Amino acid sequence: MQQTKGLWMKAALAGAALMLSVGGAAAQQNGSILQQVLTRGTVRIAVLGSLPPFAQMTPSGTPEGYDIDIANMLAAALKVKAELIVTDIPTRVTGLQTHKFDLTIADFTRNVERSTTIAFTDPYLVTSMKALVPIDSPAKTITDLNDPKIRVAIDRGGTDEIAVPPMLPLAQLVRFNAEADELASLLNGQTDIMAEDTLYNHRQIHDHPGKLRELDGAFAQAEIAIGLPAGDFDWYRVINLWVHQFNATGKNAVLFKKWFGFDLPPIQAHY
Amino acid sequence: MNYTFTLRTVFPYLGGLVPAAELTLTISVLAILISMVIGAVVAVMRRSRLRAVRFVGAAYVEVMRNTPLLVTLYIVYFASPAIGIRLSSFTAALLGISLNAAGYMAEIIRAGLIAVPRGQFEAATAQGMSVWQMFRHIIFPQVFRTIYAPLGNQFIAVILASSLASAVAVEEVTSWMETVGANSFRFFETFVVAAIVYVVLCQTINLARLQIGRMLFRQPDARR
Repeated sequence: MQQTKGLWMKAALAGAALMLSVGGAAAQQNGSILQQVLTRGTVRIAVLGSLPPFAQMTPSGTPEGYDIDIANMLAAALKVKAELIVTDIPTRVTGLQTHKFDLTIADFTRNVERSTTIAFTDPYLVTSMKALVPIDSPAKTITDLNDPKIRVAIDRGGTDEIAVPPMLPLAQLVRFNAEADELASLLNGQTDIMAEDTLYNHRQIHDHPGKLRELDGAFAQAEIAIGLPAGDFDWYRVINLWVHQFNATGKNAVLFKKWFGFDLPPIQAHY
Repeated sequence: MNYTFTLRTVFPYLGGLVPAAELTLTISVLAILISMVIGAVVAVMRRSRLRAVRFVGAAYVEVMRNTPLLVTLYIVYFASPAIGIRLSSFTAALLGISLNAAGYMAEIIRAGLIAVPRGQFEAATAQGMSVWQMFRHIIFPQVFRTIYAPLGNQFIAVILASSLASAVAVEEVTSWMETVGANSFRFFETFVVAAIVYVVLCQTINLARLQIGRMLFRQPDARR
């Protein structure tokens, strides 16, 4: 009886060991994104192509901007090369879901709905979505434009899809895939108002003197964060720690001032 | 990767699909009609006795066939305001698709014109018909019968090309697909739904064409 018990014990131990080794092999094969990135020696970072000063294309076709500098700093901290993938608004989420890239640094507003399918770090910037209008627009505040004749340029799949209708329930939504297209339609008079990050708006007002202005009031507050594929705690842990230190060491403030020309607003929500 | 395919997630958005499908159908049918008219004019120009007219016709066909439709749409919608032409999304898309499709339509109609024997032109002229009467009563009916089958291809190409109109903010089926996909994060389901809608729209147009063919032509070969 004793012997049989011992035999069972051995079998159980062997089985457990086998299961562990198989499990370990499987984990190694799929691995955390962290392992894949370190093995590959590059981190694939999705950025936008037409959202100055967050990101824009230089005439030679390489991206530059605040988000791009953050991407390169992050890659340097991981001691790997940054492989920048220029994407658009709708693709930011799907690209993470299908592991086309390892993270996004793309003026990405975090919210609960999005975080049911992808993960977000803590924010590196808190800003708000405001209304950019032609200089001769009669409106003073956003709600002055609540009219069925008003056409609002928005991003397909951006947070403006949710934030604009409550403030402008009567206006028509005109959907584009990239900010450059929205801005072109606004400057052409094919749309009357564009909902976008106030920091982007300020740059456009500066770059198109005498053509644009921003309205009082905001559609929504936006916590800008790095997006990650869901379900990979190791990857989240490392990137979130990096964001924390990027904020805490003042590197973020320096980078922000370089691209925006004024001081980084406090990174906390105003309740 | 484990993905649960659930069409149920797209159900709340299906209400928006009806106007989107109507818009796709409207743009497609209008673009087919407009491109046939422009195509017929260009095809006749390419058969002209005057070299300059032939050149303009050939140049139109080559420019339209050698530029991507997306580029044409961008020029019509985003670039034309620079010279003072400000078109709505719908008008810009309709114009861009029609101009592009007319290039292909012209070549189909030209093939039909070549198939009409020389003697038909001479006979019509001998009857004292004007150029318009000749084309209206003698030439185009014969051209139409020859090209009826290849036109089917082109009709479907126009419907599928209309999917690019979303780039200039037309809320058609592809726009619905991209918007709903981006809002629900259910791209796989919305892609499948959009594909089904396009198959149904193309088949509707195709069956309508076959039915009209049955009414117009006696020989079974020309009907398809």
